[in-house]
Amino acid sequence: MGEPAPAGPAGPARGWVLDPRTAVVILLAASITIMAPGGIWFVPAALVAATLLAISERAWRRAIGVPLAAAAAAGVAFLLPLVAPWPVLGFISVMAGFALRLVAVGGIAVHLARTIPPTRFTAALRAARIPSAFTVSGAVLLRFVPTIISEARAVHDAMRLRGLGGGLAVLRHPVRSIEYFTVPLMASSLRAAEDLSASSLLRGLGSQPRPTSMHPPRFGLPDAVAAVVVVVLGAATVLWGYGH
Amino acid sequence: MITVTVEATDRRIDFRMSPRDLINIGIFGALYLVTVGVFNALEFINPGFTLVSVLIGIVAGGVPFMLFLTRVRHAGMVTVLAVIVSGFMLLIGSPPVTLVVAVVAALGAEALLLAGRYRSRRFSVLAYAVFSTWFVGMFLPMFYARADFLTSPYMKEMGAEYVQQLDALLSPAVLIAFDLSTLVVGFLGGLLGLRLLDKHFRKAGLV
Repeated sequence: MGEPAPAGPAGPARGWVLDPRTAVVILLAASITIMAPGGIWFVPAALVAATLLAISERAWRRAIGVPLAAAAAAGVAFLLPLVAPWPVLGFISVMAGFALRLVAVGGIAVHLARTIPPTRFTAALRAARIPSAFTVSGAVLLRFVPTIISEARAVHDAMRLRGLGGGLAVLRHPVRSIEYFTVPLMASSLRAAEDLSASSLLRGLGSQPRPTSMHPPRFGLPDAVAAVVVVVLGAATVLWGYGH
Repeated sequence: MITVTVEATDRRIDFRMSPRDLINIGIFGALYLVTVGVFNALEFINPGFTLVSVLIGIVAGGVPFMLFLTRVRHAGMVTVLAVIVSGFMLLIGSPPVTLVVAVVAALGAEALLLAGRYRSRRFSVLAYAVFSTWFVGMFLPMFYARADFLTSPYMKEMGAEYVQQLDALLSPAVLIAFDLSTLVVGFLGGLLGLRLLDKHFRKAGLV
């Protein structure tokens, strides 16, 4: 586990990194099983997987935070109705049960977002033969979301400076808040978008020939280990579920 | 007469998208996600706001969506937008069924846009309303999350009356009413988007 992976311009800096295709398959497996009826049984397995992935990437805060968040959600979901027999508390606890499922899937999703840069992700999607209409627009979306989030922060700061921010203001004047927030956001983002699309067109985004990758996606030892762990976790869950 | 029909049918029913179209889809997908996400973040103030914040998010999303429609050049662009937006939602942990619901909603929206020959203002508002129903997919697991919960051993201790009340509060009827409200709120979002388009963006030359 100790030896660092070879670092490259688009490659990961350190730690054990999965092939993006493996990570996506693990995420989909967790998401499909947990969000299915009766999927609550698969939550512990997904939490173990999310924690192991966080440890593999040495994200200690997440390795502790994901189980803690799950424990809090589970506490609200299963213990709150015992406090008092009010249907409102029951409603909140059903919501918390849904949040618990989201935490379990989200723990794995964050790993994917943190370890896989858009270039590696698109290379992997291309290797998985996804049509270019989706990979090109998806890559632009992934590249552009952080830019827009920083623009949104700037707009939010400017609104607060003028005393227009705050969640309560949104509830009091929803339409006006939407106008004050979205109009400057669209205007400044579209200006940034012009530069971005000119630059990516120049660099050949969406061109017909299939681009080659500096680090072609390859399955390796980490993927094999991850596959074995996921199969063991899945089998354990099925056996445990039958026990009940 | 012939020239009139050529103008009316336009060139927008072919599916060939240029790299520029794909970049536009990605940019507006990101704008749509961030706009909806910012207003959805209200739910962290209080979990009771979850449904309200989703509805406010749908109204806000009308602004980037209507701006996007002014740049649609080909059939299929709305569907690609729906796929990458729900694909992104999938990556951050939303239920996979959302992708299916989003594609169906987007195809419905495309049919309306086609009926309005991709330029009708009235049809584009309706198209946003139909597109907005993809949020239903996000809440579909609530139906069976509720069933899992109501039949759990904890509920046995709470008494039949309590379970009955909770069942009524989370009944399929209430959840279906929420689903229908996405359509209504989407319609309002489309109207707001159109209004802001005229008020701000047309003047600034962004449309």
